[in-house]
Amino acid sequence: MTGTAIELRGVTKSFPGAERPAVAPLDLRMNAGEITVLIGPSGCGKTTTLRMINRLVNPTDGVITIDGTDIRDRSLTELRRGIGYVIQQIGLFPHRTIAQNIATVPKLLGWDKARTAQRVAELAELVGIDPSMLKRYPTELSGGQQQRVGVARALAADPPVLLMDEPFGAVDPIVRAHLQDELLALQSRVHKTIVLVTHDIDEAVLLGDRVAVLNVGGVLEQIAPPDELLAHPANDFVASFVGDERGIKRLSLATVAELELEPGPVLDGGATATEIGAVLEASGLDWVGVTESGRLAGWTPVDAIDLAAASPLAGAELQPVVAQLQPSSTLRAALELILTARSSTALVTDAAGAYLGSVTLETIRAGLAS
Amino acid sequence: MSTRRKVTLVTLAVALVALVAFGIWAVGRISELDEATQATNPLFRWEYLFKRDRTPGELWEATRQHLELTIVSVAIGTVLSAVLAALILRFHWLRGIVFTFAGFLYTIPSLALFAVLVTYNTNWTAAVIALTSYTLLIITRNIVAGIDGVPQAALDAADGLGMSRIQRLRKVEVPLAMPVILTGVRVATVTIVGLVGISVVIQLGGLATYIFDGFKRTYSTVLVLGTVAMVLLAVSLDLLLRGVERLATPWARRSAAR
Repeated sequence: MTGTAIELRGVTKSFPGAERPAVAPLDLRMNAGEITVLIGPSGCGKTTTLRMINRLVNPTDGVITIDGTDIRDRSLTELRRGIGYVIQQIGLFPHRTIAQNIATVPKLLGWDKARTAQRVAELAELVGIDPSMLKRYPTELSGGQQQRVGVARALAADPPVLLMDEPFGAVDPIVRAHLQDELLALQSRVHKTIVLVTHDIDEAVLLGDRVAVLNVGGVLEQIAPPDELLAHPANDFVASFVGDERGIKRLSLATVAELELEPGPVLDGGATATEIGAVLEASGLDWVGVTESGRLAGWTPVDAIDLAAASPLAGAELQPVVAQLQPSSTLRAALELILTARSSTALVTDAAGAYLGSVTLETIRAGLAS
Repeated sequence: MSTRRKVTLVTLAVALVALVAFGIWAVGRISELDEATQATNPLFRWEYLFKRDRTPGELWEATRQHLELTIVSVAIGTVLSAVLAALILRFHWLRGIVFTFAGFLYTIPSLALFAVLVTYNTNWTAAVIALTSYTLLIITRNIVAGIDGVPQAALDAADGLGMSRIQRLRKVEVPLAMPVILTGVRVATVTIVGLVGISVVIQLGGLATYIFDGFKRTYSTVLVLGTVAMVLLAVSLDLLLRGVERLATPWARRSAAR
């Protein structure tokens, strides 16, 4: 099921009669099992580049390999049957039922009826198409459902590579958000090598494991994971293309694990009054968090502590910590907690509940700046 | 579905209007006859149809001749049109030439064409050649329009999924063009039912024999019989082919009628 790397080496495309090549010599590698997004302004050759991979467009020069094999070494139909293809206009066959549409490639490959039927049922389940829809015709389905069928059809013969040309461009924003989430969930199960073309930077940042920014004429400006693209745009073109609000966009990408956590206003249950005083002074807060053998047990307001006792926190009545994060939480979630919680500090624990440190607005700012 | 029903109703209505118009004309014509003749010559003598022993046999024979010429001409026309359409789709520069030629054939008055063809062929062959030539424009144009009308996205998907050129034509283009193609065949068939009538001039029988006979003898009964039979034949074939269209293209929810 694992994908297969795709490599473009010195690939160019000139259309007859055009003054400038549509794609300049382009070197690009799509890693196995990853979603690589091609993005850029119109005329940047992103769709042309995509269509060169299944030879709907033939390169003028250069070599494209899939799993190390030159794509020209295989027959056209054999190559394409081994590559899933999803387009913006979906392109379902209106005269065929949903089941027949999904079964297109298995049928071309000569699968028997039982195997095809079983695969169609599997795929319907995988992309969330109700079995009762399988006997209907495409015009009877909504745009979102049609696009799910388009994806199922592309995956029918379990190809290692999936090419998607603005797959969610034709559906409304709510359905689009839904389909994007579904694609990510799907990808976590099938691990295809996906090449996806879009003009929407938010979609690129959300879906891409790596994002390739192309400039007019098929010039590769930068290829990087989305967070790196936003944090360190290679040049002014990339910076202006990814747009304003890079910091805000990164909030959805970066996680708490990437931050330099602060020790925070948290003490062991056995801490002395002096230690408590020092922590309170440092944090400037009116509460402290309490751990028991490393695990975060809760918090208590300072007023409720009897500082005269030998270990003042031992007897304190602890309240559960609401502003609690995990290392996998996004910075967006962290910021949300900091903004809405009682104080401007959120506490981080690992999955087992062990206390790791605290996050404040300053921690996030420092993290984004690094 | 409702669009189809509407189209059927319109067809029937047109047939009805044609019948009424004919009736008015026939009545007007008969009223010119003197009273004695008129008394023995009503618009339609039912006895001719039901009491005369030879009528059913003759009527069936005429219908058979009529149908035979229609079906043979449309069948040959469809095959030839498919070949022409394939050539046009393969060699785009042929498009103008083929359509101009078919259009030219279509404009030749049928009587003149019969006259010329009879000089070199048997009567039956001459009729089939002439009638076939009239179907070419209609059917070829519809095949080409149907294939041209296949959505680009479906073609792109077919290519991208790895169909060969022939598979794409067979599995995607032809099925999707089918409603328009079948409409062409239907329109051609109904047109030919009318044109077969002209073949009476070269003694090929058919239902129009009654009409010509009626004119010659000023005998309205056979005139009415021939006309009604021809209209019924045309309408039945039209409905039959609409049924075929509907069965062959269950996915086409909207009528492709034009």
